Amino acid sequence: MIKDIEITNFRCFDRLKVSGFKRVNLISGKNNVGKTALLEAIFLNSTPTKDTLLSVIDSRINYSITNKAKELSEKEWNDLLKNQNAGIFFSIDSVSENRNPKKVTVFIMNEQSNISELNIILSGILSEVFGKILEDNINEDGEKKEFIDRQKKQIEREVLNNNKAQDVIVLRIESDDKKSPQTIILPKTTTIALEGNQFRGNNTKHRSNSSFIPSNKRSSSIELTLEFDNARLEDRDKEVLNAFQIIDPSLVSVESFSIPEPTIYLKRQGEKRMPLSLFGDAMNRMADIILKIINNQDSVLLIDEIENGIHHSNQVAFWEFLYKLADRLNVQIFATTHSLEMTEAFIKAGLDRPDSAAHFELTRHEKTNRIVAINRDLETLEYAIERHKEVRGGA
Amino acid sequence: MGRNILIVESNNDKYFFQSVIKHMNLDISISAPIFLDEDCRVMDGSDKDKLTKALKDLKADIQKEDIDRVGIILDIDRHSEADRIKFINDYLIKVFPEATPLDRVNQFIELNFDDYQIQLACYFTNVDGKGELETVLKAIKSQDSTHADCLERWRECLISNSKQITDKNFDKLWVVNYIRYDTSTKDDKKDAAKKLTLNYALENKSFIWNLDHPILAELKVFFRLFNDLSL
Repeated sequence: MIKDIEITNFRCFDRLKVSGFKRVNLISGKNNVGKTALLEAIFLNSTPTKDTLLSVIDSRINYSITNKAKELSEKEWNDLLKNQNAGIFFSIDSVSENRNPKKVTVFIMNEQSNISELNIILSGILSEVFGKILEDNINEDGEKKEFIDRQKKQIEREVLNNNKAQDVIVLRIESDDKKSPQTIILPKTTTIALEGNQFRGNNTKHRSNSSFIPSNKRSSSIELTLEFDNARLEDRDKEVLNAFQIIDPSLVSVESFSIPEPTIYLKRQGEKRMPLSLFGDAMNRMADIILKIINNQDSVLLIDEIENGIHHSNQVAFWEFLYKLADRLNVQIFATTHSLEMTEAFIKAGLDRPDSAAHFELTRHEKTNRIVAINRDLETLEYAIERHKEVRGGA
Repeated sequence: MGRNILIVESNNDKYFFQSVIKHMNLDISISAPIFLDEDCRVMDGSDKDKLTKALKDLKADIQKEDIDRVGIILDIDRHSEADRIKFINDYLIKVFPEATPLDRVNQFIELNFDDYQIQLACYFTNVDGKGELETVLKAIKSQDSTHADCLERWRECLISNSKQITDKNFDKLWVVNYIRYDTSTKDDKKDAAKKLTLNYALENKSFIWNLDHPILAELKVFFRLFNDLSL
């Protein structure tokens, strides 16, 4: 579980330190204060892969209707940086509850950078990576060592010797595990393949380190049904029904059929089965959230604008369900909200579980205008709300 | 220059201190009160819980607002100054582990944490070392207070019938009577809910209190600390 995070030069953050995450974390704040960016940072640190990077960029792009694929531009990469003059990289460092550090740094090379500097950075990283691999394999058979030698020469040829250093992104991961440090190099001109105008990366596959549910996402019927079938395979479909019953207690079954295409069908007492899509936004969003938790035990789930579609009368029961499920399946949840009602429901459901719930207000300091994250325990948060203080962000 | 804020026990404290501050032409704002009223203790949790919550709330506010100096004002009641200081320090250190403990009233200590540097001082409302706000109000009244003063006879009657009323509650009743009967007009009585309150009296009829009374001297020393840039 992530306990602390420090973000440097990413999106709207010069430097943001957030400490004291617990199992279920709610982040509130005004519009444009960086709530989504904070989730993106946690996402990148948790699953530092090419697909995560691409999906983070993708979520901010406006696609035209005719786009089938999109080649990323210099600007879209640079938009990841708060201040290009402050450096060509951003970093997201976390510490787990077991005090294990994990540092993720992304270098975004550009034409203004000094090419020899870039070469030094890349050579430094590459020698370290390949040096370590060579060292690890020094007692292995000659074939493996030869393969690694060839790889190294190929990268050096393509990236360094051909002066393409300014056209790459370097993703570097350092942690306490044996695979560290890792370096992933990808060209800036990476193309995002689109399906129905949305990026479908490998992060949506079963069993992932972390998942991100954006505020406006509606998963396709096929995706949701696949997730449901995976849950059913593990005999966890009853959890899904229990979750739906929070919103509609008259539901008696949840099943999947391939009619006309893979679809989840719900049935109310005394009525015929109907596809999930007919049940409104809250149910569809609930399906997304619950299935992500059920199918990704021991992972991190990020939910932007968690209140979307959920009526206030269901909010306490919804949080109680999330707390229980997250605890049982060891999923750490980070959610953002604008809603005071949703925050109050979070407190009400969480007061009995003070060790599991944490709240953070993201706001700008009145004097310095820097973004800060204020951690309040639930009782302090309740106290502040009772005194009509603004905890959703701003003075 | 950042803001100065006060943490006080009740709404009545807030209204009174606001009028003294206004009378002195100073710039100090007062947070929503923390309600350390003894009568409320059983219903709303203990005093130490309320003080802890107020301090944690302060810690959160410091992280987003431009605050320079903080004052805590509690009633001394029947405690000694040393006891009251210890009470605050016990919970101050839990919320701000790096803070210097308070030593006496009317003296700033450093309440530093992370990169924030805040000064904190305390004061205890009293008349001759005991009492609370209403004790002070009774002492600084400026108009005829016959209706309120006659409550003494009522109190004697209670005692002769083996009934008791605490000094604290008696003083509260005294102030209510002074406002309702001794200093109210016909118009005030027509809109009793609004106009026969301490808040209204302080805002619109501050002449019924002598805000220059010598008993307020020490309180004013406390307030002046906040505008003293040499400290």
